[in-house]
Amino acid sequence: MDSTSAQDTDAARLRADTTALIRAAQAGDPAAFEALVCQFDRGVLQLARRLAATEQDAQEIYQETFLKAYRALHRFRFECAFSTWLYRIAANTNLDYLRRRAVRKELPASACGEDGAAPLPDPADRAPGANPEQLLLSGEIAARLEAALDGLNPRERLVFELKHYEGMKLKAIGDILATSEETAKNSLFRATRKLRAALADLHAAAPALASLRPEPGTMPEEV
Amino acid sequence: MTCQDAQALLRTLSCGEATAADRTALAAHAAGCSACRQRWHSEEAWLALVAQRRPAPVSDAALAQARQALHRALAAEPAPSVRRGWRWPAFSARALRAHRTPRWSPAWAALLLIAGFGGGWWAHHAPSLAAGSPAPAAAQVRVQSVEPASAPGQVRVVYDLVRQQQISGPATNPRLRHLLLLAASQPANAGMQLESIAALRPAASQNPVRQTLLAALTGDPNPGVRLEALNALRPLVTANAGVRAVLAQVVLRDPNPGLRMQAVAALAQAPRADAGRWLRRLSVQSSDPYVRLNCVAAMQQLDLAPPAAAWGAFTAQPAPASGIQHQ
Repeated sequence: MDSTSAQDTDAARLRADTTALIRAAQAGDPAAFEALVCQFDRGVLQLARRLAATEQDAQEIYQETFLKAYRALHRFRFECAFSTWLYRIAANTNLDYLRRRAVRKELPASACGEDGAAPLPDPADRAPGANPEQLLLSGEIAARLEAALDGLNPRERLVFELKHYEGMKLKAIGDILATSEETAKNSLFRATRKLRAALADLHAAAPALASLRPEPGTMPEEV
Repeated sequence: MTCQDAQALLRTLSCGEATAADRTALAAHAAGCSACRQRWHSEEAWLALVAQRRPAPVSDAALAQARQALHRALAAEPAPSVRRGWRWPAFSARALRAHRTPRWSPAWAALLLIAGFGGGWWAHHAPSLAAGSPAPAAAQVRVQSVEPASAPGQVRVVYDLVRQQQISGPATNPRLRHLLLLAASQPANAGMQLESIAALRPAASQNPVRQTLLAALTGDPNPGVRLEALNALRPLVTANAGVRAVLAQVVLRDPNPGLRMQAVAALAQAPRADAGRWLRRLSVQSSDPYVRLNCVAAMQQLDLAPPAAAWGAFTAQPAPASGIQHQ
């Protein structure tokens, strides 16, 4: 069996497992629901952490998403992929959060850890070969981007995050937001236009910074 | 390719949906068109700028904490509605979309009429189900709510019937595995948690088991359960950087001093260079002098020089024995 057909077989098996778990969860088996959670929750938490101002907020969005899914699971009728259905709930929960946050005008606290203290840095966080000046510059750009993203409206922000940081296709984003691919694309263009205007001064320096991208999973020689 | 075609491709590029063929076509056009070349470079520069934002990936510890909290929240949830296998065809969302209004055939109307009369007769003549049927055995019942019924002098009780079942087999059985994972994260019964963790220990390297063990280690209120989870995770210390990071958090944050010492001892089992890094950090960052002393002792056993800052907090005291005091 070649690798493509082996991957197809694995994907088919995973789909069958997921379907069995959904049916068991719909029949009232809580363990099956928790097994479903384990299949999809890393992405849900990742998205929430990108959009939330604090780790605690991200954890609350995560929990709210899965509680809503749990309560509505009996209404899932296999008319779309379970991941699309779940991400639709996650997207709406994140949108609600962003709208509330826009009203409250909270300040982001991205540098804080779970309890407000600075997190213990992991030795694996640093890129090999990157010098401190480059890392500092890259960090500043990320902070500017973060601030500019906070200036988008919730829907534009969500579309931009799903496209550029979750790597989703516009078609999938449209499905998740219960809208068309074209509408999702328009939201993305509006977001891009606003961000480019806000970051015009950084734009020229970007090509030189592309070389800073670290290779994941590598350890530095020295902390 | 015209400049208009190139513009369309640039929009696709900006959306992050350009294929390799799109890029090749753009490159071919841009080679002979300076205006499009400039726009192309501008788009690439923009995408490079966007890529500068790299939020840290979700750590195993953060995920474990989220799962633990979700597990507790789910336990407090009432049982969800159970999906039935049959539904009114005319009321399904798809049918409503297709027809906008349900079509009521004479046969449906007659059926509903008969069902209505039949239901009325049953309600009037049949003995009350709630009052007439024998009460289920107490051990099988979980009362969810008690409230006055609509008629005076009557009461409505909503209860769950709990059916006890048994399953036995190897812990590798998926169904048993689910149940063990569930039991391992139920703080209400520490004894059951300990048994479950012991049964799950051989599978500690598998993702759901590892997540549950990490959740127990970082979030369970019982120090005995946390210790059992730590011991189950110990074989993973050499190979798994995520487990080592969680152990470092335990050293810094766990309220139980015995567990903090066990976490230091487990970290000392990591590959020498990595163990040295963590122990060096913890020997300075921990607010507990006994932890710092143990980190220094562990480093000495590995023939590693502790940082000077670690010695600042305590003068030449002998390193303590590695015995653990459990709460």
